[in-house]
Amino acid sequence: MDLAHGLGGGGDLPISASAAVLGGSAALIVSFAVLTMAWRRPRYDNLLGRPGRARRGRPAPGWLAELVDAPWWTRTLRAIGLVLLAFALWCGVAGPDDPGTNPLFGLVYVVLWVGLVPGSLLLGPVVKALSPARTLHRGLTRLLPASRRDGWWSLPAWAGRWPAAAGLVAFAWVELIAPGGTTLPVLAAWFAGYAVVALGGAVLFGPTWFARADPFEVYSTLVAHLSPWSRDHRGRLEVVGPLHHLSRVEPGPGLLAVVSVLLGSTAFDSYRESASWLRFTQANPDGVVLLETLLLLAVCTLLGGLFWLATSTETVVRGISRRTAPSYLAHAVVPIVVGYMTAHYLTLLVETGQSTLIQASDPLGRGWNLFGTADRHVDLWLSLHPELLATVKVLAIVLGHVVGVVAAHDRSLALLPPRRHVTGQLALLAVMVAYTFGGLYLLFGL
Amino acid sequence: MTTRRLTLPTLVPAALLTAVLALAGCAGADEENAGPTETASDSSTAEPTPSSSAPAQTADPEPDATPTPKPTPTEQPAPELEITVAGDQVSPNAVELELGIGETLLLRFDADRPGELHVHSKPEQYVDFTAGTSTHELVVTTPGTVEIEEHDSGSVVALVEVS
Repeated sequence: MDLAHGLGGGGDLPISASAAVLGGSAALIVSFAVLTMAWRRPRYDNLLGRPGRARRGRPAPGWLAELVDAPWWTRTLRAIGLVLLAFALWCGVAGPDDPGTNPLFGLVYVVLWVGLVPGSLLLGPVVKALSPARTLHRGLTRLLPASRRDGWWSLPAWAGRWPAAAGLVAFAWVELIAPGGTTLPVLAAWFAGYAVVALGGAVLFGPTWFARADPFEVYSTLVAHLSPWSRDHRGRLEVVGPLHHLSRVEPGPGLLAVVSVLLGSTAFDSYRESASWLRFTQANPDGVVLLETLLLLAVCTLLGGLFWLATSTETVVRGISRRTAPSYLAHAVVPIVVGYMTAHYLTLLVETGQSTLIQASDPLGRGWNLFGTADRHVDLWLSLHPELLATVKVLAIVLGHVVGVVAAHDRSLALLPPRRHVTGQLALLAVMVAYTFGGLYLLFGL
Repeated sequence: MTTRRLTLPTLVPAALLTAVLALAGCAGADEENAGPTETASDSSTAEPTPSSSAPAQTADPEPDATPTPKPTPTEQPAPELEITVAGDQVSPNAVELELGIGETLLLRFDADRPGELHVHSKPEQYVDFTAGTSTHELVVTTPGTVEIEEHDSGSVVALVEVS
């Protein structure tokens, strides 16, 4: 069975016009308040060798730091990752090719793809800790001579996180565009390709490859920069504020591409579900896959291109070139991505997430009840409170915008020469306001 | 040192408070708007649907077919969706409808083959139709945007905003 619109069935109501306008106004007011009234000297890490003025993190409780650094804990997490992989493989091999029965689709599109956002926000880089790809690679390298365990070559610096951006486009494509994205053969082919690229790349370039190329790990690690759990310069676990943690996102080639794809693919998903696009594609069914692929790439390029234009044309301080300036600011898009993901996927996570857990008890559709959840029903409380849902969605977008604007402001103070502190931020601020207005407009419905 | 600037601890709560107040006001306005529409939908469900094409009912072998409607003087006609199925050609093309929670949508089929509609409401619903003309009633109880999809062709015939 092929669902024309992926998993999840019913969609949310569009937010009301007044909610969209009020959310947009709040975003605009906050933006200019930050620009004109907020601090004038960088408070957070600016990655230029000058520490910020804000208080750094405080050490995590000793027992917690000991726990997360304990080898048995690390191994337990890896084992959990392998068990989850084994369960997913079993569903894929033995389960029916039917999203109504087989939990595999929900595990991939909801638990992995959407669940990694709250997971990483609360717990830190969960995908890195659980990643079965990393664990399998660690096993594979035992077969290699010790001198080759870190790969044959080192990944060139210019590659940065571009491989992960490509991987994220590939995942968005299979989720949103590929004919049969909710069929087993297509999903199996995608993950076979993922395994080859992830493990092959890691053998060639060493485990750094996962932090540069694994789309799920890179996404999760970026979102984890809004979590309270960080490491200080000596590698000890510490508790930090989200803005401080966000300022530690490693800049570099491809960072802007990664956040643009995350934002662009979600915007594309919203647009693709609109009535006008649906009518157009149903009336002109030939070449829809190609057209949607081009549209997805165009949206991601447009969002990234606007950001690049706004940030690469300003005069910046010595030590940073105009070409690299965008990657020193791209971390500010991460909270906007998280806000928009929350707004877009909250009901999917809560409701389709529940149905995935229900299906997990009977993955082969044989009347089993492995985890005792098979007889549960999906609690539709969230959908039954549409005003609350709409409010949460708009607040998520506005909050993401506020955090993003503050992060961009703080970094701009470090990057821009003093006489350009305010005017130099205007173009970037306009782009971020445009992202947020675009997000609200898509939620409002076309 | 310079004058004290607005700091984050004051800025973020202030911004959120503004947004919350604004949204709370807006949610209130929504409820006011929603009130009359819901009562209107209640009144239309309370009364049987006026239908001049009632004879089509006789051709319907389905046990769950609508009872023969009596023509009643309602101000508003009940919402209807006419679906034409000719092989893989299914119409209408993603027409947009609005429906109250619990309100009945009358589905009128004119099909040259049997088939099934998938109604992507929460929970999902399925409507089997036969070749020929038939009518069915659809009620959605969870607010949201509901796609009505003809299963064999995969065509979305309607997007129903249920609120």
